[in-house]
Amino acid sequence: MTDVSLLDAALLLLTGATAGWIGVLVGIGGGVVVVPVLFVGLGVDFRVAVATALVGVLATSVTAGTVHAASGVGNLRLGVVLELATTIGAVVGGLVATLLATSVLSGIFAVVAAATAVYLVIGIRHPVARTAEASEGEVVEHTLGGAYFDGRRGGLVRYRVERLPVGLGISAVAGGLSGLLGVGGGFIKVPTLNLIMKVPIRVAAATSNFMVGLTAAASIFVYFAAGYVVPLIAAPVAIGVVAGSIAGALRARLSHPDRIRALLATILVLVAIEMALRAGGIGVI
Amino acid sequence: MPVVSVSSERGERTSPITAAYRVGLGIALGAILTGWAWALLDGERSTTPVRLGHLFDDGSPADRLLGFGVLVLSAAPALVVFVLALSWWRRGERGLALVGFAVILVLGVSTLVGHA
Repeated sequence: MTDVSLLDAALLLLTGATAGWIGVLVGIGGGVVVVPVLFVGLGVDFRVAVATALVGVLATSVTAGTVHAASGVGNLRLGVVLELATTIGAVVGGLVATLLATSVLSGIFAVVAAATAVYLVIGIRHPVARTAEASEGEVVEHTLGGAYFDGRRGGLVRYRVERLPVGLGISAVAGGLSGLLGVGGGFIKVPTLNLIMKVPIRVAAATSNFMVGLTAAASIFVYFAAGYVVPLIAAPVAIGVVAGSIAGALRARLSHPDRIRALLATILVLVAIEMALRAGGIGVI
Repeated sequence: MPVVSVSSERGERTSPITAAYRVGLGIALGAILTGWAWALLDGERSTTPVRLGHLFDDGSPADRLLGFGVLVLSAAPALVVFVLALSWWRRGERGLALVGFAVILVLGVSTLVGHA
């Protein structure tokens, strides 16, 4: 893409809105939606597509932060500790992305898109893991555990954080993929927090949302400094993401997240196939 | 149904965090919307990138305004971590505060990595 026509601008706006809307409803939809549409659909350079997707991830995270930060459900202490590993991974990933061939990046994207599709399908069938609940006296100052009010149980749920070193390691990998591919990494962070670190799913989702913004910030600075942020491409996507996120939040009760997950999983399988073919130099689209 | 969290139990104030997010989003969105409208009215179609180190040299004035909006959007999460780290430091949780400042340091380093 050498020029952004009005039709291109409208498509970019729509892409951002779709990514923001899906992101609010199923917790995924930043990079895995924006990168394929820009790279495959609109012929945008892969790294420009990644930088644009990161702007979209940032817009989603910051928009959600204006609403969710006040609820206090997200475990910001744990989020910041894990982000030390994630941001380092993101910087390394962003740097490596500027050195790798587009075909290699396409291949890695194909694997991540397929993994995300699997995560979406598993999430439909097994939505919640067990929580490492703590006794009343256990959650004290200077720990990474926490507590939140569960309306269904009618009480405070206290939880411990388990396997922090494993969480740090996986967070670094998630950051690397974010920097490489422009994905938020929520599909790695939420299961890691919930299944491995035993943090309740509600807390895991809110903490992940806080984390993806920081991770995307670390990566976007690398792309921004290297000259991959194209304002006329990034602007409509960012505006669309904010509008889509707000619309998704307002219409959440009328939507069917499981159907959207299934649809997104199907699309991601097709994206994975196309990206794998492109990695081999035989893209269909 | 009120949501009670460990943050409120520990007396961490969420209002400065919400304020940091809202100020960041407000300024960023204002700059991006204005810059985009400006570019469209000028009939601008170019896909010229704007580089972080040349924010006030690259592209048209509308591009620079858009680039500034992206910069503010990118800085908002860092501002939130700064607010958190400062509050932990004041409450004597020095270790956690240092981790927060280290995250901000990594974000700063990321701009240098991109230039290299």
